[in-house]
Amino acid sequence: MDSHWLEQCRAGDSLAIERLVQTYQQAVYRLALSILDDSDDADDATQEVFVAALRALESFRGNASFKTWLFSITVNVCRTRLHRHKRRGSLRQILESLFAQNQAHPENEAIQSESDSALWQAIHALADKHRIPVILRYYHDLPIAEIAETLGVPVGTVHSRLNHARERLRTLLKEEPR
Amino acid sequence: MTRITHKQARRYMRADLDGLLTAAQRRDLQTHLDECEACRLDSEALALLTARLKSNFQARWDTQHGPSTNVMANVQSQTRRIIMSKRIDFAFNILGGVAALLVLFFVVTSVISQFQKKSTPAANETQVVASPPQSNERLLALTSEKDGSAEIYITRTDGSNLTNLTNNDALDLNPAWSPDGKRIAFESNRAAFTQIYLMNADGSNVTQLTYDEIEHEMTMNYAQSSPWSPDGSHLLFFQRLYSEKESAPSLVELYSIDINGENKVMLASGNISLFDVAWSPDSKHIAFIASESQNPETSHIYVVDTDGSNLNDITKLLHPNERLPNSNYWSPNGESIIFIASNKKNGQWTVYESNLDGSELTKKAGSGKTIQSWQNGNSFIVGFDNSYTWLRSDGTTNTMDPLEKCNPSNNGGFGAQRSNNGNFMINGYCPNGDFWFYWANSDGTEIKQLLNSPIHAKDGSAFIAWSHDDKFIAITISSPDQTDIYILNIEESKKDPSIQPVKISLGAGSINFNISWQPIP
Repeated sequence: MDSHWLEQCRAGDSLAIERLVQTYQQAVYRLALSILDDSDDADDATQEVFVAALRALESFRGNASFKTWLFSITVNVCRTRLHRHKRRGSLRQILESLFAQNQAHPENEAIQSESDSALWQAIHALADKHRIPVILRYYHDLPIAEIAETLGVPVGTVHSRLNHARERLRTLLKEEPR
Repeated sequence: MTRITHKQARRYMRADLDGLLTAAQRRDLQTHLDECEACRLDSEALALLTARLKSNFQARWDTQHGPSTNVMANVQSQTRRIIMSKRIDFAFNILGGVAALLVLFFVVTSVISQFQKKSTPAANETQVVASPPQSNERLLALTSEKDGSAEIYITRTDGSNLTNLTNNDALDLNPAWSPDGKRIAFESNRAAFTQIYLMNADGSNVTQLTYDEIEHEMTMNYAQSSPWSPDGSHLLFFQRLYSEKESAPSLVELYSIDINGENKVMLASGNISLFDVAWSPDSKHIAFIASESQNPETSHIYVVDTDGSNLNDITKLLHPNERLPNSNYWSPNGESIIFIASNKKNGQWTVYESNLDGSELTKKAGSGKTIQSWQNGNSFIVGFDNSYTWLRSDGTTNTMDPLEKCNPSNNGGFGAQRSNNGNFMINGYCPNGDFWFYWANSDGTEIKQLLNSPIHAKDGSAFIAWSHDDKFIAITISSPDQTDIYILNIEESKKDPSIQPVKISLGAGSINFNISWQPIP
């Protein structure tokens, strides 16, 4: 994203803002969806991310790529939403409702097998700090350095969180019913 | 090729999943996996988990459509409100700013008048003055896996204050002190590919100099000199591109870059091997030996300006039968290069001096035996009879047997490391695992045994690093299960060989290496 375009967005040019939202809305939505695992929630989060980004545009200094900066806002917005959900009810209840909801969608038939259901339970049993790097790495295919920048932690921390997550998943999946 | 332990293989597998392995490490890992079924099963299980995660994520989320069309409308409407509120804030800020400036003006005027009344400082005011470094305070930097991951450490010459400067899960390697002794360049794969970084001597202010998505490596492991330019403004490094199947890189490029990470200049490129990359003393030129990949018989020495121009083959006048061993040295004034060639037909070794465009070649010395180095008229010769000989320009010689302490000396090994000032550290390795060490001056007229008892390390190997002023050496002794660093104060050990060296134990690991002495300006 060139600096001229950013300046136009900062100045409130509606065409520039429209272009910015159109360019990044799919990527932001996919990231929000993968963290929140709920399409309505991801919709709201996407909106929240762009408003937060436009509000904070003056603080963007170009140290990271614009997409990485936007992703870090997305992760923070989603984390906040997850925490809000947790305050409203236990995580287990949310997961149960997620599974119930997803099972109702025909496009989710691919995850109906017993082993995949075990995988999802294992993924959702991970803490956010371990689950989000796994999603960024294995769904969004981000390199470790970009994950580190998005999450605002050192590369080594990302690697160790991924290691922890992989070992935890392997342990949990060993216990899955055959 | 480095053999790795099961523990390392396990760590490498996980680093590989995150794109944190160098090509060389990936090859080491593959070799280990080919031989170890348990590790191979572990690797396959990790690959299976990766595939399962990816396919499940895609099945779950790729089928969902994008955000609802309301997103754009809502963002636009909320943005209008933000812009309006910012404009109002801006107007208030201007009004507030004018008021603040008026207040500030009165405050500053008042303070200045107070200062003018008492302009003489109090006699007992404390002044902060930076303390100059003491001559015995030099540090050495090294790479170690002692805490599980390859990190850069620094320590004092007495082995105290061994401090981890990098401290993360990535591989941090190959420290190189800047000529002023204030900064350390190093390599790290913390950003997926191995990149070059700079940090202060206390590990602070880490800055990344290179960013290309390719493996980077500074030149010191392929040279007898530092990758830093003598004026401290630039660093030399290689970029290596590995093809999927080949163990050797398909493309090697030599670059210089300034310490702000800018002005990257390509100095050499191709399917080549590069050795003995060395800055001229005035930091204006770089010399290197280049040969076709895997074929040292095709070696030539080139000199290039720091901006990549004026590339000259300074060995173009050599006879086709003459080939180059891996050594070349800048003359102290930087106006010529001294190198050693051997004739593959008659076995004759010759020392030459060439000017910087290769148009003038002068023979300095010759021998029927291997000349390892040459300085100020003195040839340092390796004999097939386990001997080192100094052949001086006046024809006189001095010879020593580095394996004199071994009994028997058959199958022993020996090596010599010349310092930048011309002194030699010679080691003899006996078949029973004893290492003996000797110091010698540049013409071999003075030779001293440094330790009156050997350092024992069965199946070990020794790597020697001279301090810049020749006052200390660090000897790294690596055996399959243990790496130790021994630090010797040369003058003290020459006077009293019973003084035991300082020993720093680094434990097992394949990357306990890369000693770099802090220069004392």
